[in-house]
Amino acid sequence: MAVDKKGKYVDVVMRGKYQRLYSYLRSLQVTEWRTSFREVESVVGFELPPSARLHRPWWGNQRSGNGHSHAQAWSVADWETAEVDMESETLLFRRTHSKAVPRLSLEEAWPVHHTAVWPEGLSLRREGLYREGE
Amino acid sequence: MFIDTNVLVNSRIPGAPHHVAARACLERVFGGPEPLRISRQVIREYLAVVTRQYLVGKLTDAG
Repeated sequence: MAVDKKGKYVDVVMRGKYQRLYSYLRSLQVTEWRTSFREVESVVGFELPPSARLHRPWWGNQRSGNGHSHAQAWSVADWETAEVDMESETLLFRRTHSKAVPRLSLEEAWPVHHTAVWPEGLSLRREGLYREGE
Repeated sequence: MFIDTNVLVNSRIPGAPHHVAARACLERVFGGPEPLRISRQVIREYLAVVTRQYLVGKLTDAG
C-alpha cells in the first residue's frame, strides 16, 4: 500500500462499519492476537455476516487498501489474519510490521500514584478484601 | 504469568507495605516475553480495595 494512499484508506476505515476493529487492533500492544469470531463481534459491536462463518475467504487478507471493508480494517491497521479455523470459529491476527509495535513503559502502563496515601492498618488479606473498613 | 491483586495494589501506592517489592516484580516481568495475565476476580478485588468507602479521598485517584 503506497504511503500517500494510507491516509486516505484510514479515513475510509474510520468512517466505515469496522472502525472499532481498526481502532482496537491499533491499540493492541502485542504482535499477535489469538481470538474468536465471537470476540471480534464484541469488538465491532454487531454480529458478523453469515459469510464470516460459512466462507473462509471472508477472512482473507488483501494486498491494497481497497476491497472488503472488514479486511480493509485490519490491513490498514497493519494486521493480517492467519490460522482461521472455521470449525472452532477462531483465528489469529498478526501484525504485518512487528517493528512498529508501540511499547509502553511500566510507568506509562501502570503508574505509581505518588499522591495516594496508604491507610494505616489496611490489609490485603484475601478474606478481608470485600469487608468495608473502619 | 498471573498477577494477583496484592501486586497490583502494592505496586501503585508508594506507602504500601510491599510497594518496592511489588514494583520490582512488575519491572522484571513487564515487557518480557511472557504475557502478563489477570482475572476478573483480580479486577473485582482491586476495585473492592481502591473504592472502599473509608478510602475515598485517599486511594480513589489510584484508578
